[in-house]
This record gives sequence, structure tokens and C-alpha cells, in this order.
Amino acid sequence: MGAASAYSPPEVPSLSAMGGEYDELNAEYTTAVTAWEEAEDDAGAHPSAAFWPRFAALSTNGNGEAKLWLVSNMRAAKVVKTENRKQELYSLFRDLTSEFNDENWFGGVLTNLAASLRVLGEESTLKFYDVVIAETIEDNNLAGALYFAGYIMKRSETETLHARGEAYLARIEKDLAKTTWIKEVQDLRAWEAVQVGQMAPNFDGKTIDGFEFDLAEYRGQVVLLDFYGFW
Amino acid sequence: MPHLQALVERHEDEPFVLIGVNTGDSPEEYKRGLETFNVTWLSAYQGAESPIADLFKVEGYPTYVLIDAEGKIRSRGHSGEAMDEPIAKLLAELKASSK
Repeated sequence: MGAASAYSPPEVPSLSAMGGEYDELNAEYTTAVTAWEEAEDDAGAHPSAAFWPRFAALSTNGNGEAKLWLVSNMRAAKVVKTENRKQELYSLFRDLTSEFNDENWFGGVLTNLAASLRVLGEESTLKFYDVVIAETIEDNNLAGALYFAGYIMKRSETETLHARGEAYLARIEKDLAKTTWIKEVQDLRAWEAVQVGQMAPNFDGKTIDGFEFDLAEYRGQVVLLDFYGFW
Repeated sequence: MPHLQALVERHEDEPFVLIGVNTGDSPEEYKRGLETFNVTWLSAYQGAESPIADLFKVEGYPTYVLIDAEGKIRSRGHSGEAMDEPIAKLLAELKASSK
């Protein structure tokens, strides 16, 4: 403490603090999955069930990536009973979104949260995204949270959410266009352009006999497009 | 398909057109399908690519997109039967406005 204290070397972070413990376990797991996939019929249960307790132990010790692993393997591992899934996911996402929202692996949390929408419900899901939006200092994580929250709100049955969803997406287009999420927003815009209330885009069609037509020729008539396959 | 055939016949003398857009069939499968299901209406064949389905952001098959006389999308869905009523309604509107 004092100026006179002897020099002590900087502390070397332990493996676990560096996330090394997770990397090691995950490497072991990945090897097991590869073997399981390559095995013939009698491979037995997916390895995620056998690895579950070890990832769960890491998670309990506060390892964020282990929490994300639990979230993304919960369905496949079938270790958590269906009736407990909501509660488990809720507490994992609560920790992940509040404590790890600046991490470079956080994109997986954002996508898994969207995939859990049905289990968690709209209100909880949007609440978790809003935590990220309020707290993260990483533009990519901010844009991802804005994208998923905006997407969910714009498609929500609660119409009062639509305007807020629009504002979230507009914020990505205005301030975060350099992040990778702008591509997703553009896809969503293309989707919106062909929903009810919008003008149908024109297109050229060709029958298998070579007859060419385009949609605009049928202006003035009611047109039903039927996208189908015989397969 | 019988439903679509009935739909086309029901509105035969009205300003209504059904346009099929096929996705995912080989030319052989497609030709066989047209015959088996007696597809008499206009049907676009896209081959392996699906530019028209992509343009309309089709997320599952079948998908129906109902377009009014002004070119505006008025309904979307995966059930052909569910299109019967909105089609009849649009045709009635069109008839009323042309009087």
C-alpha cells in the first residue's frame, strides 16, 4: 500500500477468470458431439445431457458463457423438466442480460432470447432486451437488442407496441448502420413492404411453355397469387 | 387443388385471376403435377431458384397473397379457403365502383 512496499508482480489471472475453464469444457463437449454425430444408429442420448451438470456448475460459479450454453442446450438436453423451463430460462437470461451485455459473445444471448419468446412471454422478453439497450456500451450488442425488440414489437398483437418497435429499428438505421445488424433490418423492411396494405411489387413470370407475363398486366382485376409446390 | 379449381370456376365471368407460382419442383415433377391436379390457370414456373417467392417473403407453403384492382395487397395467409370471402368482397367492391 505504502510507497515503500516491495514490488509485487501483477497477479496472473486464473484460468477460470480468463474463461479458459469454459473453453476447455466446451472443446471436450464439441469432440463428444462430433463423435456422437459420426456414430451409427446406437449413439444413445445427445451428449448435452451428460455434460449438463458440468456446465451448470460453471454457470453457478458465475461463468456467463456457461449460462449461455445452458440456455441454448436446454431443449436438446431434456434435463430441465418442461414445467421448470420458464423459471430456469428467466433466471439465466436475467443474469446474462444484466451482467454480460458488453461481451463479444453476447450475440448468442440475443438470438437465444428471441427463440425463447414463446416460453418466456412477450413482456419478459422485451424487458430483458430493454436492460441490454439501457446498459450495454457495445454498439453491436445494442443494435442486436434493438433489432430483436423492434421485430417482436412490430409483429406483436399489441398494437400500441408497433410505434415503439418502429422507433427501435429507425435508431439502428440512423445511428448504428455500421453494425452487422443493419442487414437484418433491411430484410425486415423488405418483409414489411409485402404485407397487407402495401402495394404489391411487380414481377415477370414465365410458364413452363414459355408464355411470359407480368403482374401489372392484371391491374384492374382481383389477383390471387398462390405460392405452391407439388412436392 | 379442387378448391382452387372451384374458385376459378365460381368467378369465371368476373375480373378475377388466379396466378400460381411454383417453387421447388423439377420440370418433370411440375409437368406431372399440372396434369394430375388439372391446373388450367396461369402458373409461373421458377425452377430451382425462387425469385418471386423471395420478393414476396414467402415463409411457408402454400402461401396466398390477395391483391386488389389497384395493386394493393389486401390479405395474406396459408389457407386457400380463408381467401374465398375476401375475394368475393373485393369483387363486389369492384362491381359497385364500376357502376
